[in-house]
Amino acid sequence: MIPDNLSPGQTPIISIQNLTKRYQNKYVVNQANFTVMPGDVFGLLGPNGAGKTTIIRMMLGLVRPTSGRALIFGADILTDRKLILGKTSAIVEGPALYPHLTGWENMKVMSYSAGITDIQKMRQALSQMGMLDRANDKFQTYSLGMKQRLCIAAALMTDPQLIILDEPTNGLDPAGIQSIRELIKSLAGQGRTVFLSSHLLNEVQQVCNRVAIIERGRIIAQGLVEEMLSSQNFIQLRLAPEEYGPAAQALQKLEFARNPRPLGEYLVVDGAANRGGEINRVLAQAGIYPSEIIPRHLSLEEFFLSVTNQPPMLPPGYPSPQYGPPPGYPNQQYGPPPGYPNQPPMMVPGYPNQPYIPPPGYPNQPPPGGASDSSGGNSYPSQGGPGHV
Amino acid sequence: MFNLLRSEIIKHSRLKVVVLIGLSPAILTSMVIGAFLFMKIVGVDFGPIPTGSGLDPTSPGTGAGTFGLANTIVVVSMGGLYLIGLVILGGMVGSNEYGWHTIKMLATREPSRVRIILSKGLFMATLAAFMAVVLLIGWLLLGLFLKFIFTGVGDTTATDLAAIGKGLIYLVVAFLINLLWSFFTLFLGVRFKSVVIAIIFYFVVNTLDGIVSALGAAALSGQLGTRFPNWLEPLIAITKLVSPFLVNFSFSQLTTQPGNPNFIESVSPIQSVLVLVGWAGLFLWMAALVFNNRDITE
Repeated sequence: MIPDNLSPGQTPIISIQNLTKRYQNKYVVNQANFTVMPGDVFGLLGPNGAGKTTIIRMMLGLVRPTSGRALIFGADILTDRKLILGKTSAIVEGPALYPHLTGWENMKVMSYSAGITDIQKMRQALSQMGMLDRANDKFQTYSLGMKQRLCIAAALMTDPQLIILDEPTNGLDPAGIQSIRELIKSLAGQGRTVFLSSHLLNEVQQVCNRVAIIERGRIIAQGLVEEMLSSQNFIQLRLAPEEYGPAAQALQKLEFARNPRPLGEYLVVDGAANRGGEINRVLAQAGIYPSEIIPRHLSLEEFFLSVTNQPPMLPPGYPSPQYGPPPGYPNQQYGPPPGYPNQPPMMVPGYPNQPYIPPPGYPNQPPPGGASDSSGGNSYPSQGGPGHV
Repeated sequence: MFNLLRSEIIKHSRLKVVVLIGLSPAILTSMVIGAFLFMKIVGVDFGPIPTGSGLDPTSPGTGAGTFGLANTIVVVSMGGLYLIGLVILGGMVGSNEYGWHTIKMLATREPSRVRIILSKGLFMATLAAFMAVVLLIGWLLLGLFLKFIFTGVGDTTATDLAAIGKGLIYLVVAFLINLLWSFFTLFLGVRFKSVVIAIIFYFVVNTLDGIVSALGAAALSGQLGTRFPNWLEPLIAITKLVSPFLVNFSFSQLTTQPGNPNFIESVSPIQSVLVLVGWAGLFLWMAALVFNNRDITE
């Protein structure tokens, strides 16, 4: 997959090139490619065990890649470690400092190991993270959120241009998550580049401007969050089943309305979430009056579930949207993972002109209870609420 | 490197076991002084000042007089305790970062992995030097104290000076050996990420080294005689060849006086010093090599 965010003259902060890590016969990371530009808040998104931490470890030189390169600030970590780590701070897999030392002693250890001896600067860093009043307590007595804050304070001591956070909100309570989120935003506001990995989609959607989605070691989608999601919106029209055909025909006049198809009790039209008025006007001109028009914008969570081949969990009777790359959509940055075969669209039985696009990697079969259903509906097993992981 | 050493000192000096081991020479010397004081108070007659170290005829000569006696008690006899202490600490310093899960943090800071290992080695050297200095002070104080409690003072200046000279050499060499073995367990700690495995390995290796050294020294000094089975001859030949390059042999060479039957004339003290320095360097280099080439997946 070719990184999309390279502009002429801009040097990426991180450039991951065909990065691969294999342990024995198992590929933990397989041909990963992505770039992070200065000022980005980049999210590496993937389920547990997808290879996020291994990529971070390779970026930081903790683990040697089997093949490929991780360039940070244009340099290879294997040959220019000092240059890179001098401008980078990282917290890999949770906050870990010396449990028997106090917060203040930990700050000193971390600062000294980075060659910083300015006591005032240490005090200031603790103060910024709201840790000054607990500085004399032992690290092991801290809550997870406090540990995280102390680690970040220590990481910021070196004034890094790049901050790498691995699952920064893991195990935090909502207040802790909120504080880390605010912190990430403030770091980005200071012009720093932030790279974070997470399986918490809501978190990534809220703080990142760019994401890459990784599954089983492969980057299967990447791009600007906004673009990814805006291309995946759709609208649901409640119509009588006999109106589906005429409605689909009428909507062909609208360029933005793509892939009209029946789903449950609705006719679903891609790319039209913000154009309900125009849809309604065209349908009315054709003598069709939907009883409901529901715009739907995909959350990153739903997008993630679609591209990682996991069925979304929806309430009973809730129509499941057809995610995945819209056919023929320009500037497509996602789709089948590299090496996956490009499968032709499948026809929904009973709706010869309505192609069913299986999510990337899905077998060429109608979804369970979907196309083969006599109603022509397409519903995934229902579990939990919308967007619930 | 100095800042890395400072950080090592902070992170280890807050551990009770490190403080205990670091101060063990002071604690042990105080206990010995306390015991002598108690005996003096209850009226034990110590008699005249001893003229030889005398406590153990096989122990290296550490001089006569109260300083020789004090050296025999707190340096020679208790030397094994300091060795074990430093060996344990070497294993801890090598492996603790894994137990604390701080190894990733440490390895993603600016200093190289080699410098990290060197700073740990430097910390061990600092600790060994600290213990040696504390022990030196304790030994000298004990020597003075014994002079006070023994009866029949007399003129012992020459004896004392000779004992202090011999004792100093012994103390320095002993702590160099302690440091060398602590580098070995530091390497093992880095390699196996476990203090226990490091200590077990140390005991096995030190025992083997001791057996071959003793056998080689006996063979080289002619003490072994010729009354052994023929099949042992090749083994004896090998030990004669190898032993001058072993730690215990070199230690014995450096702390035994010429004329002692255990002193091997054909092996110079300089060779023994070089052997010890070589082993110490090799252990540190191996620790750095293992750490430098390791994927950190903890």
